[in-house]
Amino acid sequence: MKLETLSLSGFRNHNNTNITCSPTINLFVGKNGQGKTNILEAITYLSIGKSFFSVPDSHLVRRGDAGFILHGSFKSDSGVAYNVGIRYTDETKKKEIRINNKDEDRVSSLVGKFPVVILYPEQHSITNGGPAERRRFMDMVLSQAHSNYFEMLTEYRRLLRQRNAVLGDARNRGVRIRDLLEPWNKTFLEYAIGITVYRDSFIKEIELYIKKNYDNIVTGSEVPALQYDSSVPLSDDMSSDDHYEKAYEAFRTTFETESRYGTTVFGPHRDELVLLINDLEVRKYASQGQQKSFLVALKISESQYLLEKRDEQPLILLDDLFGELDRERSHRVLELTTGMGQTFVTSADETIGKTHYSSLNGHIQFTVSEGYVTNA
Amino acid sequence: MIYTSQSIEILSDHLSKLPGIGKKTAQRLALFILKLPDEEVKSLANALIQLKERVKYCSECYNITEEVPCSICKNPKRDRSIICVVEEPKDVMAIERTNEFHGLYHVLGSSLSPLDGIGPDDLKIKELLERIQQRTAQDPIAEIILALDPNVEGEATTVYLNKLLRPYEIKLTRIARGLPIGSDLEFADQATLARALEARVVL
Repeated sequence: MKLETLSLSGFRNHNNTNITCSPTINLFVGKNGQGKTNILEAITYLSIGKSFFSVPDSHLVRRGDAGFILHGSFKSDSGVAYNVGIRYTDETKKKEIRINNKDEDRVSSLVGKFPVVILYPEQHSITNGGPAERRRFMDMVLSQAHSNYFEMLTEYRRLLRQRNAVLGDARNRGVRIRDLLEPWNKTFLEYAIGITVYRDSFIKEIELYIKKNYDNIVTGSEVPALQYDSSVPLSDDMSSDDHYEKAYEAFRTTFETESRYGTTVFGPHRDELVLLINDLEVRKYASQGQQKSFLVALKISESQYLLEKRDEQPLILLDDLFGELDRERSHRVLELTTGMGQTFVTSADETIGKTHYSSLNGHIQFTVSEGYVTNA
Repeated sequence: MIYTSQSIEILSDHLSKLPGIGKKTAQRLALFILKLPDEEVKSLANALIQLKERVKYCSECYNITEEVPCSICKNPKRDRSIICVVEEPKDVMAIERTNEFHGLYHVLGSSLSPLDGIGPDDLKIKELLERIQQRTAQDPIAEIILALDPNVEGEATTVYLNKLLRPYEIKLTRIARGLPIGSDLEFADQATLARALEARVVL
């Protein structure tokens, strides 16, 4: 997938920005707070219907504007053109999505069509933060790789909120609570199993990529690995009735706890993806350098996985790469990613083009200043 | 926003409470109404008042109606032995438009949704059970069709009703879930396709 042109109006600090992109490397340089990251955020919004930061849409509107409009013209690897427009109106809190002049009423019609891989500073929490960050990582990749996963996850979250509303309601204390929960249990468990099946095979597949990529970044005898700790028991045939019974048993043992806590404690929303180097947990025992290398390997693997599943080269967005990684690692990342697809990089260092990209043809360097983007 | 007329402000405030209407749209509507001929405005106001005065819920099926019981429940040509359970009055309208169903309805009012504070006691479920119990051997119910929305709330409500109605030994059915007419098989999501396969019919 290639992004050919991008326009932002009323988005963050961009009044009216129009960019014609390079099919290879796009560098956005400028001082902090000028609007570089906002461009990557806009590309993300066009491809998954939301920002990579967890912020409400109204925060994305430029001060004084009634809403924002984003537009991107994409071209798929097989040469099909897609015009994507998203308009958000703050008054009604509604967003309208148009793909090739046709209204799409669901974000799900967008997710996965224009796959992206994003590396931004906050993502260090994938390797050193809590389990929620790693679940978010899995969900982000799987939602883009399989439209069915995205739909299942959306439904699962709704079921979870409904179940928790029953559990959290003080009026439901006592015997009655099991009667009220029962109608939700079967579908809940079906979706829980469905999501676990996808995650399990994702983890097995991406682990192979990670082993190879990590080896390319780190010279030595370090062996990375992934381990999936799921609520739903894992087995070879998770679609069988036997497995459903087993999963139900595991679910049932949590009924007492969930009533006590007033929230659902069983299910993929409590899963953990454990990252390991030489059998030791990365979060606890790896050095900062190792954690960063692992993250880079993970991101490159994500891109390869998406390419394999979607048959489409994802866009690669690297926010403030050089501020985060040391010189050697960041250069290695650029070497690895430039061969992979269209890349968008932000940096506060204006000499980046010369130092890192002088040998590469076709890159465009943009200067971002107070929401204005110039081609120089 | 500063208004120079309090009447405009009051009307805008009311209109902005309607679904899908924001502050600005409400203001535009209010100004539009201001420009309408007096007659037009009076009949609009009357229509609103009549709506609240005349529309009631049917004592049998809880559909909206102006006469109790409603014209469907009263109609001798309808098949009294089949009851179709739906969530809302608009679902009755949708099924009536097909002209394919000639039984009676039962409108629950909503589906189960703990998030919105809607539990079994907030639906017309007790009334449905009473309706079943009141029927005599000469006037039996042969079938109850559950026609709830194909989402997680509709599914939970179906499961709940199924458990509750089972002891009455009445034939219980649910409407099929599957592919919409005029769509393409290849674009159907996996969940829909799986349901459609599950509910396949013999040729």
